[in-house]
Amino acid sequence: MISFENLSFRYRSKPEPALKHINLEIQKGEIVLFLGKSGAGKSTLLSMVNGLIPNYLEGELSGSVLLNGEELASRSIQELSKQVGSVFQNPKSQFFYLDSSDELLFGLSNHRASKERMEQRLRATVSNLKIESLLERNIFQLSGGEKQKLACASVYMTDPDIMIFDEPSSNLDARAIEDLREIISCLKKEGKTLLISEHRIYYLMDLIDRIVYMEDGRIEAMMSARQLRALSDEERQTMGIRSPLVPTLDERLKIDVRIARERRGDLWIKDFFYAYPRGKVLWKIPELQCQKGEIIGILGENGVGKTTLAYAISGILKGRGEIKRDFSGPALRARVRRKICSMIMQDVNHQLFLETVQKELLFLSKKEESLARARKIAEQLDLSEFLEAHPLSLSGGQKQRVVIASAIMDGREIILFDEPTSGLDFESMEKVSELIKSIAKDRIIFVISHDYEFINKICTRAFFLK
Amino acid sequence: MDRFALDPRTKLILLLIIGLAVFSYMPTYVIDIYIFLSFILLLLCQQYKSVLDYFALYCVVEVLLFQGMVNLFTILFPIFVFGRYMVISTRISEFSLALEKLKVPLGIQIILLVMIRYFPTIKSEFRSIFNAMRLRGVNFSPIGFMRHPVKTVEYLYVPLVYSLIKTGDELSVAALTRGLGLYESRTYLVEIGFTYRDRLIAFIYLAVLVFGFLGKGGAL
Repeated sequence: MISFENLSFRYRSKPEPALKHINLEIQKGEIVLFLGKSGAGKSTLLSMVNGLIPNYLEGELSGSVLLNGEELASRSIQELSKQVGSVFQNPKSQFFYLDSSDELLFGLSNHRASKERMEQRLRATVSNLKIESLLERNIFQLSGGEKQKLACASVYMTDPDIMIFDEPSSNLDARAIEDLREIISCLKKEGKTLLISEHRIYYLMDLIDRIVYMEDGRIEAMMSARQLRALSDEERQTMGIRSPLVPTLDERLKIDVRIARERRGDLWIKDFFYAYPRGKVLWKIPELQCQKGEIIGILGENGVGKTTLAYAISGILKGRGEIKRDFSGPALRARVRRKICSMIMQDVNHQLFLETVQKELLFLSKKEESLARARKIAEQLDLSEFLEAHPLSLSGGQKQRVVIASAIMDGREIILFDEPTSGLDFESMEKVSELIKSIAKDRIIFVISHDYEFINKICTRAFFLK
Repeated sequence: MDRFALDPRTKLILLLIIGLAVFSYMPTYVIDIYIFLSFILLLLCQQYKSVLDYFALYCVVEVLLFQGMVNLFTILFPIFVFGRYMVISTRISEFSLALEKLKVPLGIQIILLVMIRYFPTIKSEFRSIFNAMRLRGVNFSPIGFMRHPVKTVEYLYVPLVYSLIKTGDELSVAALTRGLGLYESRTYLVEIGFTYRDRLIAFIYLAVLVFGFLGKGGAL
């Protein structure tokens, strides 16, 4: 049993406390879902349980957290790792080894488990979580979904009583989320206590015992899954909670890429494909025609090559086949495409090079009129007050806007978004949707996403990449 | 992948022998023998393609460019080829166990492990930043680099350092929550140990070194 008693916490670098007087009891075997907007304190609360606070993240702490009646604050993260396992949001950086089988044993190795125990847990993990296909693999060659599955399995290997999931589905497609659901359901059957913080909630609805809704560092409401389902769409959306229903793609959006509906438009893609050096074809688009003002969704499973497609369209990778402005014109070469396309990467930190937002927008341009334009674009995107700030000091959403602003500044006609909503709460998703719609006029926008709710909301058409 | 298994400690000894041979200016044919031996080890690990690539590279550089003269390439290439063999044939857990058996303190083990973990990460982060630069129109080709060397490095520097710090942070959180550093030593499921193979290979490498020294002495 975990109990939080009048718990408050303030991060050293922040003026406002992240948690304010939390009182909560969680029973053994209970599955609790923590909801709330980004910054509401969900992650902070979970970090209290695995010991990251106060051992790793420093700040001012008052009140206490008890695990089976024992104070947690006095124990180190490593000691706690025997009872509490954690799965994080980013599957890329949770691994310590380069080989999946090594990775599974990492925790037990640290706990000085015997060989017999290691073998026994390995057998149990492989059969209970059905991960035969993940053994003996190079971690850098796993898809995002496989990585997250491996992360869960590696934590399960040490058989902790409590498991913490901090936004585990952020980077997963529908099928990988289904796998995650099965893993969580297996853990539930084993009687583990699970604490989950999440934005996409539909897959958890029939597994959870209780929902804790947080706002501004406080617990604002507690409810059951049934009570959440009973909320009206409006009530739910003001709380910033996403839909509890299984999302499906709006059938009207679907395009048949085998043949274009008409032979006119501002961009025409024909028999475009990408092949590895050894000759294996990753995907192919037989025919697709787009008009300015359109927002086209690109869907597909983890690992199908959606990001590769975005790189290929924007001329960073050389796809084969033709991309033309119109049906009869000359094919655009990769070098030309690099000048008319821009891409908003999933990790926008890779795209911020300079020390102020203004320099970032002006980039190589030294012209007088550029400055005026940069200011105007910054105003449109709500960045005026940050022109002198360091881009890396901004929040995730603000960084994304800086990169979008530079694409507009460079006069790019085609903008490709790679998973623009991964890890966003409902409110931020709404904001990104509005923003993308507002820049779509006179441009062609492609949006890669596995978030159907988002695609339905903003796209004019969408297709599955195969 | 099928691997020609040697104890990681043997590999460290072999690396030491090659280093010794290279830095004591052995005659070229001795170095060539070591490169040849590394090729055989790589072939035993089914690395046919990389052996072909390295062989081609070696022929081009040595035969066409330097015609047998001693240069930086002759010094680094044998170490590089053997390093490649070490990387593809050693599981990190085996390497870690070897360090443990060599009584390397856990702190230093962790530093070495993190370094190994970092290289592929740097590679993939670098590629992604490089792509981002090209999207913004920075020319990162050799010509572009020569025109604006300072600018290019500057652009690369900020995002690369940032992403490495961020990855390092996430990695340490993941490692701590899984108990790294709880005890002074760790347990392993893999096993390592010296077999006749280790003795045979070490003997061959050492014999070549001895002959090399004799040959060098004779020439004096």
